[in-house]
Amino acid sequence: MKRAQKILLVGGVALIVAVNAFVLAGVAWNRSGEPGSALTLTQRELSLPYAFGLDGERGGIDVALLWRAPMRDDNADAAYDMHYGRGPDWLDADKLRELGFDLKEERDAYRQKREVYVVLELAGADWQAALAQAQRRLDRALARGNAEKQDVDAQKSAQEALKYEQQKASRLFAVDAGLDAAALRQRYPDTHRHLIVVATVTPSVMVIDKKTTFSGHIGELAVARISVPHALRGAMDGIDRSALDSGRATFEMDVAWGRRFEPWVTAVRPQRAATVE
Amino acid sequence: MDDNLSRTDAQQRADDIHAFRREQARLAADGMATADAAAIRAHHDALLARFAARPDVDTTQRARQLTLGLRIASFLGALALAASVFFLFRQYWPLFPEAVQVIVLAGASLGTLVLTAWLHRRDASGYFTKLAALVAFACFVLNLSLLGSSFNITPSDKALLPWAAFALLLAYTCELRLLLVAGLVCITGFIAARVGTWTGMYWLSVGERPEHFFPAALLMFCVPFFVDHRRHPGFDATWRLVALLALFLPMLVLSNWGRASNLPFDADVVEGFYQLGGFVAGGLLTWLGARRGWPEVMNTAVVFFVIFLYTKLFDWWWAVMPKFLFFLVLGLVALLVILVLKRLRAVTPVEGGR
Repeated sequence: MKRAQKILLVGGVALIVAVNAFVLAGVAWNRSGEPGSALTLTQRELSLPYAFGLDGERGGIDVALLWRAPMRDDNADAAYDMHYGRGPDWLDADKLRELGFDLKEERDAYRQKREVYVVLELAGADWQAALAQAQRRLDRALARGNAEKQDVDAQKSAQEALKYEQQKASRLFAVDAGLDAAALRQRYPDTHRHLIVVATVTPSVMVIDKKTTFSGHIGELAVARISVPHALRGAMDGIDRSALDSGRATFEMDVAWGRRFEPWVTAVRPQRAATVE
Repeated sequence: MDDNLSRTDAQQRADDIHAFRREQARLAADGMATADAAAIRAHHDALLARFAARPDVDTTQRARQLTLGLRIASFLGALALAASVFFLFRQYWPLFPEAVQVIVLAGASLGTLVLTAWLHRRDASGYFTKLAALVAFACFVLNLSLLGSSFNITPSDKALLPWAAFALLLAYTCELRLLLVAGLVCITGFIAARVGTWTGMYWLSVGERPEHFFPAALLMFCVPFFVDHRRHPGFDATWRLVALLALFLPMLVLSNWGRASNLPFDADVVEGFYQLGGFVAGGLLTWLGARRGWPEVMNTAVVFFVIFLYTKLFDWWWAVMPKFLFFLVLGLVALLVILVLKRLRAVTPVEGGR
């Protein structure tokens, strides 16, 4: 009885202390030295949680990273072609093989899921292309004139889409992926514009007229939600989703990613618009 | 004389004879092999009086019934308290700075551990110890998971290892089979996830390849051969039971979903292989359980053997047979299983027999 108690106390205390120390040492190591990536992001790229206070519980502030895939060809007439989280065009069969996927088993390709490094570019060429595409859609809609009601609707929709792209849509685009983070960093050296994160990639296969096409889907990031530290949380008081959606408030956050590609928020800069009576 | 006994009475008599023989052996070990009836009765009265003073021993039928109620209450209470701790953290968590969060988390784990150890010394019945131990385990699980979300740590299967270690530590020192099961579930998950990552898979896709659970099943089945559990009653059976679940459940999945296999064959071949494997493993383990006196192995194997058989019969005949005939076939299969088990029972060595 006494011996069991001793083992429980000594073993238990040692385990709890060791595990907590190990976890905190890992956090310290991740944040030591120069950050691997350091980006200034806004409410366009960082999504606030939905408030859930129905049961009186208060959640912390965890922001989710919003990223996009480069858009496909310009032919689609859909006004909102955002493709949040969809597989980008560059993630084709060759790229999937480069990432270590075995595409011989066509039917089961979708069941392979791997963690790889993904490069997210902030306000780069892909975002410019998305802006240009939204502008071209509006131009096409205006060129059709407004003889029919549906033409008027299309114009309105295209105008709203362009405005959304200019003011609200995420500017963070997935531009590349690889198995070697150092090689990716060499290819994309700007740590303030190119973010390297860990994410899952799942192949998908489409067979049309006996022609097989492989593409890849980038899934959730390894760290999908970023906790805002307690010390910086006060700056976000009064800023919620409705204030952001209506344009009454905006914010900037400096986010760094460390040696283990794990993020932390280093600064929060909120901006509240003066209320108009 | 014995022919007039009902089945229940005959069963009771058989059990009593075995209990009597075991008690005789103990009396012999106590140096009372040649004592007269009065001396034995006095010895038994003294023993019963000593045992009655212990809160963890039932010396009457009524006490035994109450014990069952206490066990159920303690289990439900432990779950409720663990949930309470979880929601307490969730409600007040964001109010603390990170340093306080770490201290509170580690402190909660350490505090409930110390409370468990303290109760273990004073609570001979073990009910309060069980409550405290489960809360300690819940606190430690929360400790790691909340640290992870506070400091944006990448989720990893490695967290299952310290959880398993902590659960096993509590289970072995406080004699708690519930926590042993929790620890074994963590070990199973960790091994399956590791096997997956060695083959290049994402660790959370562990359910995509049920075969990855087999190494854990094999390991857990072998542990009781190498670890002496004489001071931990029921632990051998628990290791074996969890091992069999880790073997049969993936086999059942693969026998109906061959595409989830790593084997380089068509899905139909894989499904056939695992259906056959399920029957063979079920039969062999039923025999082994009966032979070695492992009721948990025998019963689990029989249950899965029947499940494999019924799913197969459903595949073959549900669509083509009239329903009355289908269920008649199921009934006949059940009769066949009963006959086989009776035969197995007949060849099982009689305890205490010559």
